[in-house]
Amino acid sequence: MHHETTPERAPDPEHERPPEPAPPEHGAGPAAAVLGLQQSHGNAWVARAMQRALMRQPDAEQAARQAFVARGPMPAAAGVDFQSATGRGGFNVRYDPATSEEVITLKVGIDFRDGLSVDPATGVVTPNDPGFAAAAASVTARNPGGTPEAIAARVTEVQTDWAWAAQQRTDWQNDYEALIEGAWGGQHHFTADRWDDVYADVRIDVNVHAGLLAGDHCKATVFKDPPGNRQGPGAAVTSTPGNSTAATGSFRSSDITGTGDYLNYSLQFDNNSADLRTATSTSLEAPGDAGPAHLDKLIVDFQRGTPTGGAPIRITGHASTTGDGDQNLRLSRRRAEAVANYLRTHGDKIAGSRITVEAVGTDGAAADERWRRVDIQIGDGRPQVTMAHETGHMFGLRDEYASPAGGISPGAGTGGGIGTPVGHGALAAAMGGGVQTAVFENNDSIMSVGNVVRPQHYATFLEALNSVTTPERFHYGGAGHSPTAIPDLIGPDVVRPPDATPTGVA
Amino acid sequence: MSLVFGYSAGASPGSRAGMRAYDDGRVELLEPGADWREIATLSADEVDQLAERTRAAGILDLPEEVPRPAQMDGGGECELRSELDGRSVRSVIHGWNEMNPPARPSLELVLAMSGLVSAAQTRG
Repeated sequence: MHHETTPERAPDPEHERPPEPAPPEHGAGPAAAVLGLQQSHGNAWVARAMQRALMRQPDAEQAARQAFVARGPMPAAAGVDFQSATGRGGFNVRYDPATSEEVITLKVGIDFRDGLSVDPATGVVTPNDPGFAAAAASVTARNPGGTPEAIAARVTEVQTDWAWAAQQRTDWQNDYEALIEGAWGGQHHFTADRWDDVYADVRIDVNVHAGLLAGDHCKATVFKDPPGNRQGPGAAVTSTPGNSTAATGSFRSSDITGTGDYLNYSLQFDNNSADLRTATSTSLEAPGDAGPAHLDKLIVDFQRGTPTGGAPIRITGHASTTGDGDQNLRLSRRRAEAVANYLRTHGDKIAGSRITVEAVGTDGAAADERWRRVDIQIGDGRPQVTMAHETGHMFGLRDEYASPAGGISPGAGTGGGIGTPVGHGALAAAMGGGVQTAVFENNDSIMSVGNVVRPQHYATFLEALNSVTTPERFHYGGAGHSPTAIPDLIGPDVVRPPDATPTGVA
Repeated sequence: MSLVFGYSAGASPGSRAGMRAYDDGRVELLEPGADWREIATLSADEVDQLAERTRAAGILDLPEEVPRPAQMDGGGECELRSELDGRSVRSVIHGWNEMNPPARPSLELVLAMSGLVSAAQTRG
């Protein structure tokens, strides 16, 4: 292995992004549980909790806590439909103190439609949405004319790639439910303002079904297209302020994985060259740019939105296997350094502290020209899963990505100026627990151009929670699930308030 | 030779797709990540039909930017162009989707264009 990793050494007055809270670790047994809590919440927190447990008294606070828990599911076992103050989307919410769970239920009705249709007699291909008109022309261009062979080829392609089969509908529904419940559930938890051992973990329950029902929070059209297809109507969610069951959506079946990539870019170099001026972009979203022009776009797009913001940028230099190994390692480094230096010194500049440079020489490479390249990865580099992002709108969130003039996609989408607050920014700022306001910035966050569900993306869940637990309120408690309950070292409470019922009874 | 009507939709240069037709009947297709390429030739009558539909859709009177509805998130972008009647029109519709009422005439125009192009492609 010939890896050389060099964090940038250039002084940077800006601060690094503070680390996000680590999920608490769960051990086996009381001692391990206490140790885990000390690691995740600190000694002071554990000391307070232990003191409270050891000195458990039927005082007023204890009685109020037990009365709160005894309220059972809030506001009721069926929950209540809710729409955020953002006026976006809608979902059902309930809080169950017995399980420390806030359950977010999202009902999505789907009108499954084929992306293209074909007349089996004439082979004429018809788009079922204007966004697929070019796709229809593409299919016909591959097999033009009126011969039986051409007609049969078009019929086969449309029926195979652009028409729903019954099993595909079922699979898509199941995949969508699993995607959202996994991507959005359990990422963070909330803690009661009044009692720091009363929590709310967030569980997402997505109910996707074929057909549109009156109580659906979102009524969506999903067009069938082939996996990886990049043309067609853009994914959209339209909301109705004041109505939590009136959002509509328009998606493609390929949105279940997503087909765009705004977190990975590449420049290909000439043979034995590290000259940016003759390099060319092979990036998915902007192929063919000259090297400097491409980097100019990245500098514009990936400015930090806050003094502590800005996604890390990893630059990896490669070389093809042609030529000497050591020389290729040096060449890959020169290529990577050329990119890093450009980002650091041109336009509004990318802060050097955000940049890591790596040279891997010919590791994993072949002799072909594709390996004469530099890869530029933003954040965790996981291309966005479109349906996970769009569902964020159903949860009431707004876009956080920016499309500035001079960037890759100037003016695209609903993004605003980098650094300006987003539509759920005020809600995020009010979450407590150190959560900052949310601003426009291109990074690996779910409502930007990535997949990471960060604390601010739970803003509408907290808003909903506080609406059903009133007058008690919660605040942001940390990443992951709530900590393991303090081990009961002294047995059950001696005195139970007369109006309390056992927890867990609905 | 001038452009009767053309459009390209997509969020980024690498994802744009569309079609454009010239007054000599030539039709070009844009696929994601590729360059425009010729795919069909419209008849003179078809060119006239497309021109008439382009005028009727109000393409020549569109502003440079048509915003997406305030309650829509996403929806993509579409750039429309025409050089009919000595004009040179370029308009970008944000939220190019049925849920955006100002977009509907252009959406119907693209469907009509698709029908004309498909007929030209399938007659060989």
